[in-house]
Parts: sequence; structure tokens; C-alpha cells
Amino acid sequence: MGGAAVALVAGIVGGLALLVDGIPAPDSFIEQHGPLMALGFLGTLIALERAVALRRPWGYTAPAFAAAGAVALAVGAEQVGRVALTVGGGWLVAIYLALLGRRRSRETFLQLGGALAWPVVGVLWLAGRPVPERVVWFAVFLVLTIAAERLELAHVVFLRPIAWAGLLAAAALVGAGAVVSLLAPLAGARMAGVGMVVVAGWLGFYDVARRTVRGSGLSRYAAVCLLAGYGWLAVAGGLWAATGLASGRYLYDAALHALFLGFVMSMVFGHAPVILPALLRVRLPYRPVLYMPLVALHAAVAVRMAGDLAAAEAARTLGGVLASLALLMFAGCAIALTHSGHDREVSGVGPVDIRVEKGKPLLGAPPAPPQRPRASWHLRANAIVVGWLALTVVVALAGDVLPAPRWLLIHVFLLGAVSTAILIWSEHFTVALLRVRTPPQRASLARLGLLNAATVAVLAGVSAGPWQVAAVGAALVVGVVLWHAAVLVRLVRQALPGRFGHVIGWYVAAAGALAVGGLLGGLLAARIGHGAVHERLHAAHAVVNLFGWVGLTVLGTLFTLWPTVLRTRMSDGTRRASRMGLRLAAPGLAVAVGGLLADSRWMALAGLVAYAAGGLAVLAPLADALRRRRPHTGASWMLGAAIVWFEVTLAANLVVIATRPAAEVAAALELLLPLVLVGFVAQVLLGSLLHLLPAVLGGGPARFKQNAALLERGWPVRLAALNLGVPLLALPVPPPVTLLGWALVLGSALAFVALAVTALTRARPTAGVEEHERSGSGGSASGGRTWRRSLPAIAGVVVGCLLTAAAVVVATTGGSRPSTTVTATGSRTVEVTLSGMSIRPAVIEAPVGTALTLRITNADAQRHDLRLATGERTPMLAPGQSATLKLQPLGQSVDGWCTVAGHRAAGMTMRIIPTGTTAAASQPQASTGHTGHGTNAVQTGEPTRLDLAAPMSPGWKPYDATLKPAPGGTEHHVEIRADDTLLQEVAPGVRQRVWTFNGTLPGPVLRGKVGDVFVVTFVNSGSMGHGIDFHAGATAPDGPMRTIQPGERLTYRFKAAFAGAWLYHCSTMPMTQHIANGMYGAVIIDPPDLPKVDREYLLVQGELYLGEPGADAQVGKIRRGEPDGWMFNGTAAGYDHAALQAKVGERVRIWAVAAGPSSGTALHVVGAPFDTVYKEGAYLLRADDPGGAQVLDLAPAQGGFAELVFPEAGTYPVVDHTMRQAEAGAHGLFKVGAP
Amino acid sequence: MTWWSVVRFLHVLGAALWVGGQLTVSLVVLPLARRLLDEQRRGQVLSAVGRRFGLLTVAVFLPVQLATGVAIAWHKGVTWASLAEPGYGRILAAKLVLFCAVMAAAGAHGWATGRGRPRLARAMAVTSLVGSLGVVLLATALPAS
Repeated sequence: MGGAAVALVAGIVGGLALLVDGIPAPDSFIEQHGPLMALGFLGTLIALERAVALRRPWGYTAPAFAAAGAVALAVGAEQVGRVALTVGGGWLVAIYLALLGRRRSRETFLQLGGALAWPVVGVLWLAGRPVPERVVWFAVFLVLTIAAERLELAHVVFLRPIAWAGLLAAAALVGAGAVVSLLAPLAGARMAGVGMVVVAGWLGFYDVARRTVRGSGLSRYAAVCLLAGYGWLAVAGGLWAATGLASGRYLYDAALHALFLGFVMSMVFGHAPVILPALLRVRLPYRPVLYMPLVALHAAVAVRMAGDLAAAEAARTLGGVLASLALLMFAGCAIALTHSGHDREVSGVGPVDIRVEKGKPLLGAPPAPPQRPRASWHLRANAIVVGWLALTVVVALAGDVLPAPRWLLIHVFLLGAVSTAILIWSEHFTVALLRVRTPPQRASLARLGLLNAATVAVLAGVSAGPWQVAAVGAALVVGVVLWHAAVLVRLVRQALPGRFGHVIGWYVAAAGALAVGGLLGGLLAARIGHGAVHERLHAAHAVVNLFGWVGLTVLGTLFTLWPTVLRTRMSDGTRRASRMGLRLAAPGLAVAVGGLLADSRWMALAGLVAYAAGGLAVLAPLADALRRRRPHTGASWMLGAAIVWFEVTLAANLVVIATRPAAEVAAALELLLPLVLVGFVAQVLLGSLLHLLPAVLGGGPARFKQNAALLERGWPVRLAALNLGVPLLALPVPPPVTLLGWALVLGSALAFVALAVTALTRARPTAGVEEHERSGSGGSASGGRTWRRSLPAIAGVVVGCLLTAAAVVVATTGGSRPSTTVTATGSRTVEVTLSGMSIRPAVIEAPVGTALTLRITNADAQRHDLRLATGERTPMLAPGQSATLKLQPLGQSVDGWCTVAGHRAAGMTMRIIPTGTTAAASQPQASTGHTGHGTNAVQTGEPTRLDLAAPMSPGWKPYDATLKPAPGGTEHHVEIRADDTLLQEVAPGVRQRVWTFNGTLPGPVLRGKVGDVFVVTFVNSGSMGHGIDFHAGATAPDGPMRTIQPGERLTYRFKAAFAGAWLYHCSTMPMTQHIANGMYGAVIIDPPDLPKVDREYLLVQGELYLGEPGADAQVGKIRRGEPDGWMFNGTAAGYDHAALQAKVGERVRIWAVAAGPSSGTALHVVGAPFDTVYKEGAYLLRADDPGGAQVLDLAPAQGGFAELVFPEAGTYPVVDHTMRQAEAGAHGLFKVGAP
Repeated sequence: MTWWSVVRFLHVLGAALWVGGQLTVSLVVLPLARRLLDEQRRGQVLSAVGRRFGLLTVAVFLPVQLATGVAIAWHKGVTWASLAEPGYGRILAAKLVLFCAVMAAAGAHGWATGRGRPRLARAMAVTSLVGSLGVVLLATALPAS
């Protein structure tokens, strides 16, 4: 045991020293960190445990050897340590053989298999094999041993042979992986990884832990340890399988420590209370404090994994330190508990009993923990809703601090609070109304959990990026809600026909609406559709979610809820009204959404009118109920007010849709949002919670009354405040009045949240009280008393925290500000344009002290705004609108961005940089941190050296240089779309925004014969004006070459009267920028009788200017003609990384076009002269001429081809022999193979 | 190692003892007293503990903290004007204000205990505890130079 402790300490210190520089540790600790932990510590423990089980003196030799080996390793006698540890492993095998001789059991076989790995490791080690090769064997040893040990504990449970075979197969897979790893380390590790995943799955499925985790005390703790450990085993296996233990510090580290820390140490924690007594004859009584090291351990492993996967050294170190802390904490707990175990006897559970308990005996099982009452899970689930509500308040208060504050506010509330509430309650109502059995609670909880996870993903993805996270979240939302709808439909099928079945139709229709809305939201998040399309998507998204998901659910619920709240019976016509309402509303909504998407105002209007008619049909039975009974409770008044707001919104929306084109609907709806969100949705939510919470909290009539009274406290004031606040928010009133509106609304909401939390916390002790009551003692007051008693303490904590927070605010404000002594030295006005997901200029440079005035114009087809880090902001600008911002005299760099959700991540950022101050200002960091796409685009004038030898990013595909033969026919129809938002890899590892035709750089190749007619439909899908100019055609430029605006199209028809390689390019001024940013391509018109050759390639050469297109710095470089690089077919040195292919003896024709804008080319193939050269419509050289050519020279916009035959196999560079340009990227390779 | 180190040591030690003492009483003594002692004895023990702690605070802790604190501030060249400046001065000022608030809370605790208002006393005790943690937080935030 002492040896194991030495190994543990030495291993931990060594591990820490690996992570943190400067921790003094002997070299032996560091070098032998792995063996010390895996064999020295764990091996000794396992051997000791087996020796105890054997109960023969000779058995103790194995742990003795292992411990001695560990000590030897630690003190630096490496060779001695290796031998001793190997012998210890051999001895352990002997122990297993002896155990097997005593009783043949499959666990022992499995353990024997694991133990065999130990001496193998030893031998490999003695043979000097490197650590990574031995790691697989370590894993075999530990995984098999632990799995077998779990099997031993679980074997009381009847195991079918098939299950046993599954484990055996998985174990065999791990073992086989280790064997394979001797020959092929990568494949072996992958194999073992797959095996580990299977083992983890098997254990997770069959282990009793899955059941005992619902128990309490020790068995629960152990089960938590085990299950968490299995999770890490699966993670580790996945990592192994994915990476094959590939070298590279981070992934290797992650793969190793997920297994050895996450899985193995978790197992040790879980088993220690069982094994320690057996080993040391001391008791380790269970205490909840044991969870502390466990949580610390898993947090540590998680942090470490995150650090490894994100390659963040600091996180990894933190994880390592935390892990050693966890191990020390556990050791500390163990020591403290074994020594103080007798001050409070724990219900006489000896180690043996624990084993039995863990083994889950079939008979005489301890009574199952009392099932929580049914209301309880609703209660808990509603806590999520209350939590989201509180978060909504926080978001509203935080305001501008957050990215995309408006969007966040809306979605935290609707997607977080409201959707969760709908999911919970529509299922609950369905069950209650249909009188069917509750669907499996686990599935419901899973849906709820998934929805919340998806919500978090959407919120995070949209507000902070990357958008893929948001899109996945949206997809998940759609999936969950479809699942929810399926469950409801199944419930209806199961149920007997009843009076309330009609309500479920509303819920299902609502779920369908959210599925559509979520889909639209996902499209929005993915930024599919631009400009007007975007706005239409937005409008449809808003309408279908508000009126569909929320509206339909609420309307459906009102049929039953309204009479219940009024405490009257349902009116007779309810069912008919419901049927009719749904038949009108659901199709109406579908038509309306279709109309909005299709940009058909009247269709949208007709749909919405049908929806409104459906809504009116619903009102009939509600009004009927109202006639019978006046509203008399807070809940009924709130619901009533909510219905009124709903109708108001609906009417306003009708007006909006009738008077505006679809693209402007979203902007107009924005004004209505407070009405819907606060007046209708929030009020319905509050009203229903007000009515339902007391019922859900339960606890008998007295408790019900008490809770109801608590929740209704001061409801008239709250109602009035809320409904006064709503119009103040919606109407265009001066800011202070709006603020008052917010105060009223939030105050009312906060009051409810506070009361609800009070009621909820009160309810928890009640559960305990009920138990007391059942056992005959106690009174209902004690729950309240506990609550009361802790009230002063809570108040104290709150006051203390507030005081501290205030002090911290005082301490930090103004600390980071620059001294306010910047004096105005001049002033300047800068025009800023918002368009196409960028802000131009992206960088404004001005001398310190300049008082800048920004005139911001939204030139895009969708809404944007601009917010500066110093707090100035424009209002949301509609397309074409402008605003002016006056800035304080410039002191420091100021960032600016668009606050519309996702736009900052998409690159709508800018920076104002003071010049002439410090070095930091002259080398501004481009705002790459905000672009979120891994852009390395450098946005300043700094000449950047491209690293052309660096590898291309994974996933990069070269532009296919192969030139396809001309299609048949004499008339060619082509559509070319201009786009200016794409990011493309323009040089190894350098991605940059480019302007393109049809999304490729260069644009599509047009090829035909002399006399062919090309009919080009040119569409501008970009965010600014573009045009197109085909050199191959003869036409007056005025019409077809004109600049068209985003969304417009033109037809460009030309007849190719002349043969040649022709350039086409964007014809919009400034053409330098449009061409330099990528808007060019080639038209190839074959000369008559062009001979067929074996291969034809096309290289379009262009210049590369790094930086955000249109930014001052980039424009300057273009004007001066100082490219950062040259590209063949849109990537500098791209064909160095994806060589062009040819074979010896083949005739290869290389077409070339020089796109410029400022430089031509001198195309040359190193090692292979041309025998044919055709330039600008004429042959300069033919194959049967005696001469040859070394270069095809082209001025900007010229084209031609050259032909050659490679003499022998090899690699032939193809370069622009203007060497400066070749070395900066105009360079590629021909790989010539044998024929 | 100069005499100033000793002064700083005393200042830190005083803070550690005071905050640590509060934590010990709240997290160790109080729960155990609740569990192990009956109503009457608990009252006796707790009031004795409180009185002793208050005595120590007033007699030892406050004088030591004030003396060493003022000395350190003088050594650092802190002036009234510099307290308003962002950075060291502002943080120090906030810390002093918070410290005064904590002392006020502690005083209120003693007063409320004497007047037999246990709920207020408890709230004030916790306020003082949390606030003194805040003081420590601000102390660690002071720039080292």
C-alpha cells in the first residue's frame, strides 16, 4: 500500500510538472508519469485486491513486486523498476490462474485476459518500445480488469448468454486492437477504441448502476461514479477510434486522460468505499461529502478535454491541476472518514452488505424509494419556465450590453419560456382531457431536455456564432416538436372518443406551425436568402411562430381553461366552434405564410383573414361563458386582457399586411411585438401559471388556498401595471416614457416570479412534511418554519452580495477608460455604408483627438444598424435610411458592429483606429475575431507574406483546371449569378471574401465554336451593383454591359464571331476592384479544325489582394498595383497542392487567360518547351514548324493556348516566368506519369 | 524582508483571523450548536461566542487593521485626492467603504442580539460575513505595485 501511495504521489507530481513549468519535480517523476499511475498505483491496488481474495501468503508477492517497482521507478532506478513491475504483472497472472483453478468463472477469464496485458507491457517496455505503443496495453489491462470486476458484482443479475457474448466480443476487440497495435499502431488503437465504446455501452446497459442510481446514499454515489466513468470510457473510445491515438500533443492527451482519469479514476472513487475495507480492514463510511472530489474530478476531466480539443493550454493545465486536487480531496476525505467514522453510525452497513446492495438481489430487495408524486415533475418542469422568465427579465435589463439584444430578448422569452411551457402544458392537458395514461415520463423529460438544449444552442449560435450551432439547434427544435406532435396524435388514437378530443387538434396544428417556423428560423440563422428574401423569410417566421405555435396553442387551451378559470361549465357549442375555428385558422395560417414567402400580399391577407375568422369562431363559446360568470380572479382578468391584446394584434397585423409589401412586413411587425409578447403571450403565461400553480403544487385544500392567496397577492395592481405598460412600449413615445413602460411591465413580471419562487420553495419542504405526516408526527407548519428560519440568512447573503457588487462597480468603473484628457484636435466626417454583410470602410484611421462624425447609410436590402463599443448607436436602419453618429475625440481603438442577430458573426464589423500614437495602433489587428469563419483575411496595408508551402485547409477543393469540350449545338444558354459574400481559400490557409460569378473563382467557363450564339441570363444576387462584359462578343456596351442592382437580371446575347481565349469580367466601376476581387472568367472559342489532343487545361491567372473587399487598405493596394499574390484559377499555388495530371507522350494543351487587373503573364512550363503556340486569334507556332517556344506571353485580358508533350515521367512546374509573380503564387505542378 | 513586510503580514493576518473567525462560527460552530445543544445552552454558548468575538474585534482586530492599513497607505503614497483616481485609488476607496459597511453590519448584529431580535441579528451577521469576503476580493484586486 505504501508503494501504491508513493506511486500515486510521484505520478501526480510528475503529471503536474508536465503541465506547469516551474514545478520542481525529479525527472523520474515526470518521465515515468504514465507507468507510475497505470502500473505503480493502479496495478499495485489491483494486485493487492486479488491477493486478498486469494487468501494465500504467496499471493502478496505480486503487489509487493509492483509496489517495489513503483518505488524504484520513482527514485530513478528505471531498469530495476521495469523488471520488478513486469515480474509483479506475471505474478498477478499466476494469481488469476490459481483463482481459476479454484472456481471457473467467466469474470476470472476476462480478468486473466486483462492481467496478461500487464506482463506484455512490461516486456515491451524492457524491449524499449515507446510509450504510445504501450498505452494500448495499459488500456487493455485496466478496461478488461474493471469490466470483469463489474461483471462479478453484477452477475447476480441474470445474464443471457447473448449479453455475455457481447461483452466478450467487445473485450476481444480491445485485446485484438492491442495485438494489432504491435504491427500497425494506428489501426490497433482505432480498433481498441471501437472496442472501448462497445464495452462502455455494454456496461452502461447491463450494469446495476443504472438502477441503483435511483437509490440513495452509498449505492447512489457508487452508481453515479460508475455511470460517469462509463461515459468517459465511451468518450475515450470515440477519441481513440477517431484519432487512432495519433501523435500531436492535444488529441493524444485528450484520448489518454479521458480513459485513465475520467474512466479509471472514477471507477476507483466508486469502488473505494467497498474495496478499502477489504484491503485495509478499515471502514470507509459513506458521506455525501464524497461527491465533492467526484464532481471535481469530472469537472477536471471535462475542462481538460475542452482544453485539449480547443488546443487551449491554459484550460488543459487548469484541468490537470483540478484533477490532482480532486485526487487529493478524495484521499483527504477517505482518511478523514476512516478515522472519524464512529461519531455517527451509519445504519450498520458493512462492506458485505454494500456488495449485496450493489449486486441488486432479486429477493428481499430494499423497498424502492417512494415514487415522487405525479404533480412533482410538472412542478419541477415549471421551474424551468420560471427560470427562463427570470432570464428574460435579466436580458431586458442588460439591454445593450448583449450582442443582438432585441433578438435575444424575444427568443429567450418565446423560445425559452413560452415554448417550454407549451411543451409541458399541452401534453399535460392532452392527458388530462383525454383521460389516457401519461406517456412515459422519461420520454417527456427527454423532449424537454432536448428542447432546452436546442434553445441554448440557438441562442448561443445566433448571438455568438458560429451559425452552424444555431442551425443545428433549430433543426433539433423542429425534431422535438414533431416528436411532441406524434406523441399527441398517438394519445388521441389511444383514447376513447370524448368531449375534449377536439382540443388536441389545435395542439398538433400548433406543433406543425413551430416545425415550419423553426425551419424558417434555421434558414434565417444559416443566412440563406439575402435582402428582400431574407425579410420575407423573417416575416413568415414571425407570423407562423406567433400566430401558429403560440396562438393556436393558446386558443385551443382557452376552450377548457377559460371556463375553469371562471369556475363555470363549458358552453354547449364549444365543440362545434372549435372544429370550425381550427378548420379556418390552420389552413388560413398556412396560406398566409405561403403568401408571405411567395411575396403575394393578397394571398397572405386572405390567409390571415381566414385565421382571424377562426379566431372569432373560438371567441363565441368564450363569450358565452363570460355571460354566465363575470371574471373575478386575477387569473381570469389576466387571461381576458390577454385575449383582448391578441385580437388587437391580429387586427393590426391585418392592416400591416394589407398595406405593405411582404418584404416590409417584418419591419412593421416589430412595432407590434410588445403587444404580442407582453400583452398576449406573457399575460397568458402569467395568467395560466397563476391559476395552475396552486393546483400543481398540491398539498391539500389548505395548502392550495394558501398558495393561491400568495400568488394572487396584489393582482389588481400587477394587472393594471402590465396592461398600462404594454401600450407605452408599443407606441412611439419619448424614451423616458418607454422606460416607464418597461418598469411597469418588468416590475409586474418580477413580482410574479418572486411570488412563484416563494411558492415553489415552500413546496419542497412540504414533500418532507408529507412523509412526516404519513409516519404520524409533525405538522404542516414545519415546512414553513424551515423556510422562515433561513430567510434572515438569505436576506443577509443578498444584502452582502449587493454591497460587494456595488463596491466592485465603484472600484472598476473608470479604471479601464483612457484618461479623459483627449482633446479635440480636429474633426472629420466619414461616410459609412452597411451592405452585404459588411461595413465599409472596415477600418477608419484618424489621428488621435479627431472628433469623428460617421454618416451611416444602409445600402442593403435588409435592415442593419451600427453600434460602437463606446456606446453610440444608430437606430435600426431600413434599406436606404441614414443616420449620423458624433463621436467623442478619438483616444483608443473603437470597435463597431451591426447588432442584428448573426450579422456580427457574418463579418459586419468595423474598427476605428487612432494613428500616430503607439505601435499597437500602427499594426492594428484585423477584426478577425469577430468574423467567426476562421478568416485570416488581413485588413490592413501591412504587406503580408503568404506561406505558400503551408497545407491547404481540410475540405479545400481545387478549381478543376480540366477544360471540357464544347457542348453540341450552336446556341448556348447560361445563367450567371453575381455574388459578393462568399469566403474562399485564396492561398494556403488564407480565406478571404471574394466576389464571384456563379460562386467560383474564376467564373464558369463558356466554350463553343466560331459562330455559336451565347444567351446569358445575368442575375445580380449580390449586395451591390454588378455588370458583365464578354470580350468574345461584339455589341454596343450601353445595354447588356450596364450595371444592374441587387435582385435585377438582364439577358446578354452575343455571337462568337472570332476564335480565341477571351476574358469576361464585371463591368461595374471601379473595375479594378470588381476584377481584383474575383469577378472574371474565360470564354473559349475553338479555332476551326482545332486538332483533338489528349488533355486540355485552362489556367486563368489573376491577382490577389488580401483584405476586406472595399476597405481602404485593400483599395489602396489595388490602385497602386501591389498585389499580395498571384493565383492560377483562384488559389495562389493551389496546383502545387493538387498537381495537374498528364502522361508521358500525351499531347497537352494549356489554355491561358490573364485576368489581371494590372499584370499579364509569361506562362512557362519548366522542362518542357511548347511546340504549338496560339495567341490572340492566331497561331504563332505550329507543331510541324521547326522552332519551339518557351513562353506564352499575355498582356492583361489577353488569352491563348500552348501545346506540349512531356518527354519523360516527373514533376514539371508550370509558372508565370515573371519570377516575382511565380514566387508569390503563380505556380503549379504537372505530375507526369509513365504512359 | 523589511519592517514593511511585518506590517503587511499583520494586516493580512488580522483580516484572515477576522474573516476566518466569522466563517468558522457560521459554518462550524453554529450548525453543531444547533444539532448538539438544547435551546437554552445554545443561547448561552452562542452569546458567549459572539461576545468574545466582538470583544476581540473591537479590542484587537480593529486597532491593528486601522493602524497597519493607514501605515501601508502612507507608505504607498495614497492621498485623499488619489482615492478618486481610477485604478488603485478607486479600488482602495471602494474597499474602505465596503469595510465601513461591514463594520456597521457587525455593529448592528451586536445591537440586534442585545435587543432580542434574532432574525435581524442573523441577517446582519450573514451580511457582515459576505461583505467581508467582498473586502478580501477587493484587496486581492488591488494592483500589486
